[in-house]
Amino acid sequence: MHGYETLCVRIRTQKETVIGDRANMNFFRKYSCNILKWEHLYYFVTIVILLLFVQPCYSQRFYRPEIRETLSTGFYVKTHLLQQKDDAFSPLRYNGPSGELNLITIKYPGNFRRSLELGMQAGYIENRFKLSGWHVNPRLSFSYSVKVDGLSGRDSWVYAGPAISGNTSITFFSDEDPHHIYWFTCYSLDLFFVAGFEVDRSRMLFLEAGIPLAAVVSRPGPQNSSSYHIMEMGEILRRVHSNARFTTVDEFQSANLKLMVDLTRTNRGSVTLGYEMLFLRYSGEVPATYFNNGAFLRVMFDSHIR
Amino acid sequence: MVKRTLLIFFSLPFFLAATSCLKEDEFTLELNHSPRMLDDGWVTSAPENAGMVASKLQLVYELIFDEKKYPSSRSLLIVRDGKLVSESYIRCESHITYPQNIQGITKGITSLLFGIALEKGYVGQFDHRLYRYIPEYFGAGEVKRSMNFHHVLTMQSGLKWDNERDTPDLFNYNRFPSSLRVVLQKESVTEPGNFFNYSDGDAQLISGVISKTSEMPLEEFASDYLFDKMGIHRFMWEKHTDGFNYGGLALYLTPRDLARIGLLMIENGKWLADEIVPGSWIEEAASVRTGDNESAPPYGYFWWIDTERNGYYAKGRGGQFLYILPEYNLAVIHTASPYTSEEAAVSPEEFFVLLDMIIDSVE
Repeated sequence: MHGYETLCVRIRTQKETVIGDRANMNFFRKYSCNILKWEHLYYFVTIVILLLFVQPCYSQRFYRPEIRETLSTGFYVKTHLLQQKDDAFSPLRYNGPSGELNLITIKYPGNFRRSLELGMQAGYIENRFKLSGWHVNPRLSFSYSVKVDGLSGRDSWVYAGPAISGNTSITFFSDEDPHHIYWFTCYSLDLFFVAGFEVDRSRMLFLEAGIPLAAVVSRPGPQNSSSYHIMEMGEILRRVHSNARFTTVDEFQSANLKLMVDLTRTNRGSVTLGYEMLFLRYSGEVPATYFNNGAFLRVMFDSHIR
Repeated sequence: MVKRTLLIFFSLPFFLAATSCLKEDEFTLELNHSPRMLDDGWVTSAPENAGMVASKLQLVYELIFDEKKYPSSRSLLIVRDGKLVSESYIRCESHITYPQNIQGITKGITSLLFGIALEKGYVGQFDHRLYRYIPEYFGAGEVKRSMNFHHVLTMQSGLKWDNERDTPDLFNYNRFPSSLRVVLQKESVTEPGNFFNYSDGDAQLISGVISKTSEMPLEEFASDYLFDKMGIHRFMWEKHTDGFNYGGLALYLTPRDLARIGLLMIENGKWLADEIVPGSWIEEAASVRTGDNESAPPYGYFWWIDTERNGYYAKGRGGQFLYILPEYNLAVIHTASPYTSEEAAVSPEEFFVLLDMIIDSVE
């Protein structure tokens, strides 16, 4: 029993907010945080950020960048609008705000670039019936890229190379299925690309992209074989790595794009504002799509090695 | 100018991404409550031929197909006079053949198996203490040891068990390697027979006794003595690593097979003229057995009693119902998403709205 039949049986159905004079109205009021407010705020912030990217084009004072061997260490604070549709659980879309904190270190030893990024995202999601859940997503990525001389110039540089990313999206649909977790774990080998454009002496513009070539993906099976998941850390870690299978771009698609512009940059560091989009899609036995985008602020501290 | 164009060009995908939404799939199917033609032994009938008013039944299905009213519902089946009169699958047509977790209705099946075990001599009399059958799982304490089958089958074991908090422990094999000890290590809050407490733990004890005395897991016992005879072959029953199936939950049946159980109850234990469950047991199990205990709701042996409508039923988490109305020769089966929280589930009150409309459609 596979495909549509098995997926349908996993459909967890939802509850309408207004169900006459039912006694549980208070429950729905309690959880009826209006997602539209978040969306409006999110769209406003997005438009402002994109306008910021356009603005520097008018005042560019290009100069030949002096690329020195540099170690940058810092952190991101991100706010996202998360959307997800997990066929292991429901045909409905769940969305909501989420926050993320990332730690990052980047090293530019000459013509190479190495970066290591660790992050933890947490958010609240709900469906159109206002039934809610929680989402956490620990993330890890490591990239090693080489400067592409043909695409680098006086006022810009491009690095490209492989990257390894790990991503475990764990969702707990607290209203509809309080005894199970749903997950989308993927460890992928990516093609990574980052470009920097000098806007002026104190600002740079960055474009980053990662696209997977192959991945190991773990998803829940088509039928829950247990009425309860044990909510202990060891058991959760084991579960979110169960059913793992190797997959390529025919079943697993992902894109991680970042567009960033420095608010300020000195020899000692930078403060950068950016927009990020993370898209994950698995179209294997139990499909799922996660779509995550939002704004972030990045603070980096630089030390110049030579 | 080129740079600006390039920048806008690169920004465009970001802007599109930022403003896009994931698409949702179909949530409710087209209304269709005619019995499907499957070669599974069910005799089907139009409502009129079974003494039901089709136009009134139509209203029932219009209500349940309203996703704003019954969004957790999956299926509704009606059996009358031995025939399948109507059935609908609200979210997915393939639910017709897919075994789903019937949650607490499992207790009703466990009750039937106990009746069979009683008849076959695997267990003795009602007033036998459980300690006599599974002494190795009991600790010290005379109060616990005094509980008998009547106490346990009526949810009056006196053990302190909270389904929300304690039932997950039954599934935590590493921490609790024995499902019977998990139950029996709970403290006794009263003498057995004094306090009603709806407990998955009590049902687990019955599962343990039947499995031990029959020397086979409950799923095998069910298969040999009940399901095979009824043509129920596609089922699953979760069990603990100690080998004991969960007596109170986690049996997976298709809606049509659940309807077979309903038909068996209407026929007082007979299936195709053979008595496979003692009729006397069904009468006992489907009568109020909580006696003088005023704190208890009307409850039989793992079956709820509806004194208002003169029927009885089994129910399970999320809104699973198997309702029997003997005087109308009627069984109503409702399944729903099995894992929802109590607040998001189809409540008994909501189910009874449907049931009353169905009863009203009987001529």
